Amino acid sequence: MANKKKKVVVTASKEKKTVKATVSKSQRIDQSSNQRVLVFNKSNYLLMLAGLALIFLGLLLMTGGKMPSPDVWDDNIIYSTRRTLIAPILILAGLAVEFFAIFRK
Amino acid sequence: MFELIEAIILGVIQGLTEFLPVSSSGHLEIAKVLLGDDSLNEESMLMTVSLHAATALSTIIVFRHDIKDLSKHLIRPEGKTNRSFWMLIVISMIPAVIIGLGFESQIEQLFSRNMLLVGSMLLLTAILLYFADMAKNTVKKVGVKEAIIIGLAQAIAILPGISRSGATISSSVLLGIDREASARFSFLMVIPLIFGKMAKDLLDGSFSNYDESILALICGFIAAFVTGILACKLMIRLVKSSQLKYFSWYCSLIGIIAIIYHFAS
Repeated sequence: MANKKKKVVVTASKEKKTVKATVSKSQRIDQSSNQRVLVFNKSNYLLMLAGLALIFLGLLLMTGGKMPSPDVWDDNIIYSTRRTLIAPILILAGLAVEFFAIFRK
Repeated sequence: MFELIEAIILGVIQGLTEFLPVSSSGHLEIAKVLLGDDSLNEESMLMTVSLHAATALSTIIVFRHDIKDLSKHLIRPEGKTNRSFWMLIVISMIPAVIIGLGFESQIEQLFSRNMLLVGSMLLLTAILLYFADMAKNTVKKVGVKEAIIIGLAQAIAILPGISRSGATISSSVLLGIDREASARFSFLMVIPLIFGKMAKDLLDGSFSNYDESILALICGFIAAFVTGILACKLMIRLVKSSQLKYFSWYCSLIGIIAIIYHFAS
């Protein structure tokens, strides 16, 4: 009986050691990196991208406004509806989408 | 290609100086004097909006759990603490709003390459950071009186050479407020101001012609966003572990150089 008990103890300790080594070196790193990477889920990231797209579309629409020549001044070019209304609204809407994406569960 | 590199550099500078206590405006004034106004291209309103949006979003990312927790039960009786916190944020914004809107032209006059003013203000920032590091018994919470004082510190930080984050965090810690809470309050109090200023700039129609490439704006935005997250986290760690003295030494050095330059030239 005593011999049997000894064998069992030896085998168990060996198994424990191998399991410990495997978990600590590979899985722990994977777990911690996964926890770090997956701060948001897929839908959050998609919404963030949508928000960024809106912001950059707004910025794109706001560019321009240059007069064709230094002798020309046209209010419609520099203060066009595209630049003074649509573009700012798109940028602000994009920021609102970003807010929503960050705080959405 | 040069335009993209310039946008990335601008983004990194914005990301770092928004959070680290070194005063971006002070450094810009010194750079203007040393390099001459003509050699520094003033960044366009579009780039400014893009970079500020990036750092504001990086602040929200870093503090998203705090913001979420603080926004719970706002209209219910159990949300009294959260309501008080947001009220304190609003109170702290008032001095900067009054000074920013009411004294716009006077503020612009201060940005006239006055090296003595910049140097002195950098030394003031250094002193504040040094004493904030030395402060003990930082256990209190932000109250109305503290919010007003921190708000005044933020308003004074409009001066070139005074760091906004440095002034608000230092004054908060010197008032005995918990270090982490000080950093959190300092960074959260500026978010509404940044978005308010952005909305004002975008909607007031003060436009000229912008030929900024969209790729440059994207590069600047990403650089400011990533650097902003890292700098914000670093700053919180530095405040918690009382390591602001390194910035104090740096600001002292630059401040002294600016003052010597003023008297030597």
